[in-house]
Amino acid sequence: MRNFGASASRGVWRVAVLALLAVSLSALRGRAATVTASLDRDATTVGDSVTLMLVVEGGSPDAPPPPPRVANLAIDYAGQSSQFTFSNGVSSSSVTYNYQVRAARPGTYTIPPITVTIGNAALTSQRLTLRVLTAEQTGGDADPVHKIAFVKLVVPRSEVYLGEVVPVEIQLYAQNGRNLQMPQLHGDGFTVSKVLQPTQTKTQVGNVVFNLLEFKTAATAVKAGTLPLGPAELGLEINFPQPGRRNRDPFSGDPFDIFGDRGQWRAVTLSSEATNLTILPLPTANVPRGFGGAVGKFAWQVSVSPTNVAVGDPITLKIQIVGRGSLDSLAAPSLSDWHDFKVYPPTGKIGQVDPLGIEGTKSFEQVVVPENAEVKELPALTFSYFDPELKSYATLSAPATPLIVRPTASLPAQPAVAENSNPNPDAPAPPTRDIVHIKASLGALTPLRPVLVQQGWFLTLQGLPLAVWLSVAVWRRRAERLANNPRWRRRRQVSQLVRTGLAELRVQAERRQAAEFHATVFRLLQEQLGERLDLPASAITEAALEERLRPGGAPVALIDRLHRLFQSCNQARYAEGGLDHELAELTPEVEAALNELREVELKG
Amino acid sequence: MKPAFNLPVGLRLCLLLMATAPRVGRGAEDSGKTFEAGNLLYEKGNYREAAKAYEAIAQSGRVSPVLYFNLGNAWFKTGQIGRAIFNYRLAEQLAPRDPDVRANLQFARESVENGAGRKRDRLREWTNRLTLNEWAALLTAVNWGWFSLLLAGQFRPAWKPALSGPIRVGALLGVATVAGFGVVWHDRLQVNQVVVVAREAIVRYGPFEEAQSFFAVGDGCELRVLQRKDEWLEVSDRTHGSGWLQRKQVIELPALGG
Repeated sequence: MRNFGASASRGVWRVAVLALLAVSLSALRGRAATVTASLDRDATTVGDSVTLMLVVEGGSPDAPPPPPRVANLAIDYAGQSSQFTFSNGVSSSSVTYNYQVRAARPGTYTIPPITVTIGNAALTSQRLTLRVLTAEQTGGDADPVHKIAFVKLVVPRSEVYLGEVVPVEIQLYAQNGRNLQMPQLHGDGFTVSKVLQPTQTKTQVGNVVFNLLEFKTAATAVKAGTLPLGPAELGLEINFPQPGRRNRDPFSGDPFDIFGDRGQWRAVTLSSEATNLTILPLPTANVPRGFGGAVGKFAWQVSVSPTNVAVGDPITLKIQIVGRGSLDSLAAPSLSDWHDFKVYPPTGKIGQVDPLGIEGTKSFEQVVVPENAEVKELPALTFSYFDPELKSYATLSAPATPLIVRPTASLPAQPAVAENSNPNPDAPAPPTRDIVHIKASLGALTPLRPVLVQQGWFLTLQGLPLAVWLSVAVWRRRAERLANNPRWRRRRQVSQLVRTGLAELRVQAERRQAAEFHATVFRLLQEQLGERLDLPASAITEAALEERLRPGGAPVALIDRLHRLFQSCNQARYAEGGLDHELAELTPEVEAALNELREVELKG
Repeated sequence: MKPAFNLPVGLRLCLLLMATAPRVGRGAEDSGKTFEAGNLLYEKGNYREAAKAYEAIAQSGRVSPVLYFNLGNAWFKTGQIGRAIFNYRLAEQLAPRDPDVRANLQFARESVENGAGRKRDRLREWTNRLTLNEWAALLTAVNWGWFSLLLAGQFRPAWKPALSGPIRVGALLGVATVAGFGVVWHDRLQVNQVVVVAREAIVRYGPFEEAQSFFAVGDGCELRVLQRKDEWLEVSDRTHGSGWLQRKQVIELPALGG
């Protein structure tokens, strides 16, 4: 028996697939075929080739379309490629035909429409225009190397001042290359800073896309006049393409190895043109006093420490100069005209700077020593520089710093020290000091004793607060315990009460105060039993002995003794005066009973 | 009218010194006179006699930072840098914040030959601003103050929240004080230091004359004692290491409270 359900399911699938095919075919057929022609660039040089691409969409010609004929242009078929895409239910296909176009002469050429036959339909592309230039017209030279790579030297200004730092850029344009060396910038009359690692971008020159590597450096003119800066030279290997092959592979990851081994690699040295710079001398008019040759733009901070010293003590001036200019050659302010001070050579240190070293901080530390106690201030400091932007000199100044110079610390310099150790007799000798002089007053004499820490009382003194604190802490804890435990508190109270009660008993026994004696005994028994049985004292009677004490496990002898005491009290209460002679004997009995009662362990 | 005896000033001062020396220690007045005599001898350039005068006061058992300072100066002027450093260090223990004492000690140390270079020790610069006794007093004050706060909390539990901040601050202060005191206590009482007073002392590999020489230290070199054996001390030097030195070539530095 056939499975009807399965047969029906297969039928449904067949219908669906047919419907999908029908839709797809209708989509393909529904779109009109188009033909588009394009050149990979619209200008080239004589002898160079460009690619003409003819893209046919929505159909497929039976054969590659024949290339058009144009005078002085050689157009050769170079192959085809196909593409089929299916997106969002819509399919499309295209065929691309490539042609190499090479011009024999310069001029502007019009490439006529190309006719494509698809089935019975003939489609045509649009016209194209190609400009063919000579090498001179492209700005290049005849050297084939320079078509692939060249170097430019970029100097932002043509006129600079002597000592002024000029940023310089060496630009390498290269279609390809490898084993790149750092460039060298030549220039007599200039000092050139270190060349920084390059940054890399892409740029287009004419119709050619180059990799552009920019090397930054700085140059400082050291003599006036018109001086050539450059050329910049740079060595690398470049790849010379084989004739007939297009040298462009957009899918290469390495811009300097985009040909693989298809071309021929050759080491070349590229050289830029030199740039003439006019180096202006610094103005000779209005030169500030103490100008040390600094050129740029600067600010500064000056600090002096200490300001309260003795004669012969060193004072340190800290000078921090911040700005743009040749920091390497920046000198500290001259202190040669300072009197009453020994001035030592400053130490300079370059702090944070930009990578080219032309903008940042330079710090100086200058040690000066006052030579006499009449010195009242550190003279004002000035630092002058030439500002190329303003084309004038500028002076920074720091006011005089008041000083307190005491006469005691040193005596006048002694010339004996290290005479032959100083190779330069003109340089200031290091300060030769003497000891501070003796003192006239003996001061308070104190006996030589062991130090405090070696004396016993000192250790006791250290331990005392700890002991006091521990005692108070214990006391405090007990107080809190009492406050939180009424039974324990009652026990302490009863214990105290019994102690005082027994003392009273002895007095009353001696005085033969029988009534008071028995009243006290009764009260003590009530208090102690009440505390042990956790009952109010007033609730205690002789009956409690049988009801509470005996079930609590108290010894029989104790219970009997307590019975006797209760009975004695009762007897005294109801037969006054007859039992005075027994009081002295009864006292130890009471004491023993109370003690035993206090110690006995009761159940529950 | 001429005086009966016209002795040179130096000789008269020496006689005064000899006359007062036996009575030194009886009172501050005698010490004062001896001190002035010492100062006069110093001013006259008789440094050795001045040192003797100052030492006579020191032997009386009553001292002052100025006494050790002047004594150090007198020894320095006689060229005995080791004895000068020894006395400056005693003066520094009694008056650690006296800039003159520090200056002269530094100056004397810079004059030492063969001494190991001293590295700057900021911790010691801080802790040595107080004498050992001052540290002890500060420790006592902080200790008592802190426990007083704790006691106040025991007596007045309601104050405890308000006291918690001062108690914490006090605890930190206590830790800092204990640390500072500990450093000074260790340096003064746990580390035995000596100052070389011989012109050149040979440190040997062993505690006997025949032992091979290890290195030499000059007058004023400060060394740390590691152990003792008879008349020999094993000392350590910052640059060379440890070796043995005769005890008579050094002075041991005692701990003074100040």
